[in-house]
Amino acid sequence: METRFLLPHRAKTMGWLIFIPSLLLGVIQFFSTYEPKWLDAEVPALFYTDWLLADKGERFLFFTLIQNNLADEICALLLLIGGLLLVFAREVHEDEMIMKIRLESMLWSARVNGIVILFCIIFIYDITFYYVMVLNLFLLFFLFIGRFEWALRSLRRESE
Amino acid sequence: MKNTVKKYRVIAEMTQQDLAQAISVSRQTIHAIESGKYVPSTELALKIAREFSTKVEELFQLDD
Repeated sequence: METRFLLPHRAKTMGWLIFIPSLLLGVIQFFSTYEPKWLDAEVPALFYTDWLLADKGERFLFFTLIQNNLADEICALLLLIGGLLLVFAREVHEDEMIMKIRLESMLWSARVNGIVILFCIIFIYDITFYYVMVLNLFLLFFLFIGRFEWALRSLRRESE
Repeated sequence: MKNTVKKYRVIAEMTQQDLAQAISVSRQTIHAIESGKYVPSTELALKIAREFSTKVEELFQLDD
């Protein structure tokens, strides 16, 4: 069976090694808003909303340089890279049934993710909605990884 | 979908692992096929039939 767009199996180990620490760092960062000073930097922004300049009519800035702490960006990027490695890593015996489980897990996570967003739109408002949406950026990965690993474990248990 | 893969495998004196290796899939896939939890693709069904020198229809039948 042709399995395009999949990475070698060792990407899975690398994925876990990046995903778990960055998840822990992300949770700590999210709840403590800890930002080390040495990660302060001037970064290019395609679009930026400066509320302090609102009165001067320069609220929306395009293609500009802004001051930003990189802690949350680094955390999010590592989480994304770790998640992508886990999602796209080939199994040891990657065959058509594993591919079917993979696709079913992706469909299931997309469905659950959609329901969660629907629920949030209806019941969560203002800045809390923003925080929930930040978490939602990674929810698809969490759901897929959980569902796929659970399905693989069930399969192994049943065949023993 | 019913199948007689297990019967043919036992006659051929093969383990699930032997069959899995012969057609390049995992042992779990053979187990899932034999227990009716997974219906293989046409390609895989043809490979299994070739391994047992029989026809696909002998291995897989539609439920009545």
